[in-house]
Amino acid sequence: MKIVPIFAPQLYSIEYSKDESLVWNKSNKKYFSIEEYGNLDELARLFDLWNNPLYLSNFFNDNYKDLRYFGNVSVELAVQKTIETAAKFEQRLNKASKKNIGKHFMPLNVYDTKLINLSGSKTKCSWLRLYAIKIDSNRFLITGGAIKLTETMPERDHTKDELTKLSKARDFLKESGVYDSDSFNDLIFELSI
Amino acid sequence: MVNIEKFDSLVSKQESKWHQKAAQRIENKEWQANSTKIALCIISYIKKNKTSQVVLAKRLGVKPQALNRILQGKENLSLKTIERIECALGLSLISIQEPLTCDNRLNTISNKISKFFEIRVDYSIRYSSVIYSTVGGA
Repeated sequence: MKIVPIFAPQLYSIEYSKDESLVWNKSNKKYFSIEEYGNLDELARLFDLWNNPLYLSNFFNDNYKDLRYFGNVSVELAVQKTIETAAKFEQRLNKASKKNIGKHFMPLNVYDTKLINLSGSKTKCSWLRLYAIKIDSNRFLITGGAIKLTETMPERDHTKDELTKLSKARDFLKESGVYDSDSFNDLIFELSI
Repeated sequence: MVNIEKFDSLVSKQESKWHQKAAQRIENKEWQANSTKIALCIISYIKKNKTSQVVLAKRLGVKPQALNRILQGKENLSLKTIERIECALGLSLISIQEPLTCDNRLNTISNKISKFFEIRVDYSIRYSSVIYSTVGGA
C-alpha cells in the first residue's frame, strides 16, 4: 500500500499493490485490466474509469436493476451523465485544493439512506463517491470510491469492498504508528457531488 | 492522537498521475466528447446485434485491442476510421453542415417564416423581399 500526494499536505490517495484482492479481483478484472490501471493511485484510477464509456456501459448494464430506481434512465444516459458529473467533480477538487479541503468531506454514514432520484426535474446525478480517512482536521487520505446506486453501502459487493478498504487503510495507519485511536467511525469520510 | 510525522514518513515521493490525466481531459475535452459518443454507438450496436468486440474488430479490419481503445473513448479518430466504422455498422455517425450560399440562406429564412405563419412561401428573391418587409424587417 503506497500513499501518494495529490495536494500535499491536504489530500492524499492510496495506490494499492497488484496483489490487493479488493481491487484486482475476478469481478473487477471483467471491467478493467491490471496492465492499464495497476500503476495508478485510487483517485487517478477512479476518474479514468468514470470517463470510460466501455467501463460505464458494462457497469450500468450489470447493475441495471439498481439504475431503474432513478427513473426512466437508459444505460446510455447514465453513462453520459456520469461523464458530465465526473468532469464537474474534478473541477471541484481542483478548486478545493486552494481552500480548506476539509469542508468538502462529510462524515460517512454507512447506512446512508439519502438517495438522489434522477426522475425529478430539479435533481442531479450524484452517485459518484470518494471515500477517505481523516488524518487530521484538514488532511484526508482517499482509500477508494464507487458509483453508489443503492441506499446503503453493504447492499452491493462493490460498495461493501470500499468499507473493507477503509478498514484496511485504518489498520495500516494504526500499525505504522500514525493512529492510536480505536474510534474508526469518526475517521471515515466521503466526498460526493 | 495522530502522529503527523509518522504519516509524512509514509508518503511516497512519487506524484499522483491524476494531475496529468485531469489536465489532458480538459485539453482534449471536445474531441473526447465526440469519441465517447461514437464509442457508445458502437457499444449499443454490439449489444443490439448480439455480436462481440472480436467479431466487429475483424469486420473493421483492426485488432481487438485497437477496437477496445476506441470503445474506451481514448482514440482521436480519423475521418477514415469513422467512415470505416459507419460502413461496418451501417450507421451515420457524423454529419457535416453544408456552407450556406445566398440561395440556401433565403431558403432557410423562407422555411422558417412559412413554418411560423403556416403559409407557403415562394422563395424567389422578389417574394422574399416582400415577406421581409411584411414581417417588419425581422
